[in-house]
Amino acid sequence: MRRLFLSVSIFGALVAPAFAYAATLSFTAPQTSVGIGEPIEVSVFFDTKNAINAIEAAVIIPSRFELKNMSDGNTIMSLWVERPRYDRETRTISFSGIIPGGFLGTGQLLKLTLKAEAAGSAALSFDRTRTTVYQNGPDGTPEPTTLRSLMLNAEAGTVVTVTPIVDIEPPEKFVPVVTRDPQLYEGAWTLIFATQDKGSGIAYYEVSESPVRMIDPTKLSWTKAESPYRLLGEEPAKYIYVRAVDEQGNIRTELYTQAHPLSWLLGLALGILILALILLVLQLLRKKRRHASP
Amino acid sequence: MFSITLSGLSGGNYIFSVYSEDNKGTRSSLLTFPISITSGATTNVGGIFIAPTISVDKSEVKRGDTITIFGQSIPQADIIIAVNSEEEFFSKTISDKNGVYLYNFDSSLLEYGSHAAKSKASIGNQLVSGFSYLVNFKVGTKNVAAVAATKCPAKGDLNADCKVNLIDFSILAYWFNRPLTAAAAALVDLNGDKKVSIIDFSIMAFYWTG
Repeated sequence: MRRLFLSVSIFGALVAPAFAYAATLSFTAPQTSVGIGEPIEVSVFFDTKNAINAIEAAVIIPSRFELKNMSDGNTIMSLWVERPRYDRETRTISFSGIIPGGFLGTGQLLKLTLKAEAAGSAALSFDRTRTTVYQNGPDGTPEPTTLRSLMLNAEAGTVVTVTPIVDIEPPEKFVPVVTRDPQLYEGAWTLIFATQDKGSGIAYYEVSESPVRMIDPTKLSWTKAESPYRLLGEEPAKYIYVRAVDEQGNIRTELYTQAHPLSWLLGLALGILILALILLVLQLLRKKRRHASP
Repeated sequence: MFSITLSGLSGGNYIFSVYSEDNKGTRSSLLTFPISITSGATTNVGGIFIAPTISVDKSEVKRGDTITIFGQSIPQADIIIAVNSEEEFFSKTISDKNGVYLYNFDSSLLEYGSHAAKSKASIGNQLVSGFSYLVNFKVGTKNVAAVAATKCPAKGDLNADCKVNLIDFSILAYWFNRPLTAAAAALVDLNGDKKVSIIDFSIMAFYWTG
């Protein structure tokens, strides 16, 4: 019996490393050796042969490394349920999100920049208890997923060239929506928005509610916001500006307004018409006066 | 055949989803594909073949009677209909010049109980679509006509506008990690586990209409 158990165990040990599920979460880095104090970029990658539509994951940063930056630029995740957040105490990055309609193939979820603090090897890994991938199906069924760690080596004298992200493009265009629903802030007016940035990733959103239209949105007073955002007044402001800022500071500003989109143009045209009429009347009066004088 | 042109996209990876709607307003399943776009270049994507729509004429069929499985795809396509049972049955038909297909399935092949059907289309065995949504029916002792398919998604439409989109996502996100009221639980707890978790978001993502 013992022999049988032993042989099964050995078989299991031999087979386990080679076995892989249809879905895999892994890390990729241009090189795995890094100098102490030097940065290294690591991408969190996802690969699947079955359609999936939701991922929640937790990445454990090893103690020899410090997290310097994380970016969701060019992520395959369409909508974040929880944007990537780093808990310094547990040294864990956690995130969750969905891909409506499902996803098949390979894509990047996040890009991390780490800095080696002490010499030695350490594994960048997923927290298995907090990492689950879900099938694109009507029941929210988990998809068995292989989780692959990445061994990093911090050595004195190793130099890694990190190419800085050059991003001059603002985040993607988006359409802010104002809605009211009994199950959203107890029926208060709520602003909804979401976009992506294919370069450096979204850093934050800001909202400004204004009774007047501003030609220069930089002069508005901005408040950092996350969607869904409860609007301030009993009624939505006439002009609601939302701006998405990426990690490189590029800004995309979008406007929600209840006013007719061309109302300011119509106002301008009306103003010009009135001014032209006044000038015409003044000219006529001047002519009349000239004719009247001897 | 269809073609769509999108412009003004930044370079990067995108996920596109397309679906079709037949002459009865029934929607096909979503076809999703990832594309890498290069800034300043034109990217052509071809060979997109959307799955057929599918409906049945009875929600319950008397064992031995026929159940009609129908829907729409492209004209003159080979339609494979799969009826899921303990043993899976495959039937073949051809869509007409309007893309409409119809198949009378003999229910005597099936056991009493719940069953589901799905379909896919192919052209000359070269281009094959994915499978349609599953449509459920029961084999029993009487015939019950199917209620006309509603255009509204079965789940995830939290604000009852017959769409599952960013507004519904935001309502679900609002209740994420919050204690649920009874009214909220009835609406947003899509899998009935008395909380809003990533599982509810996964179910919503499946029923997404945009």
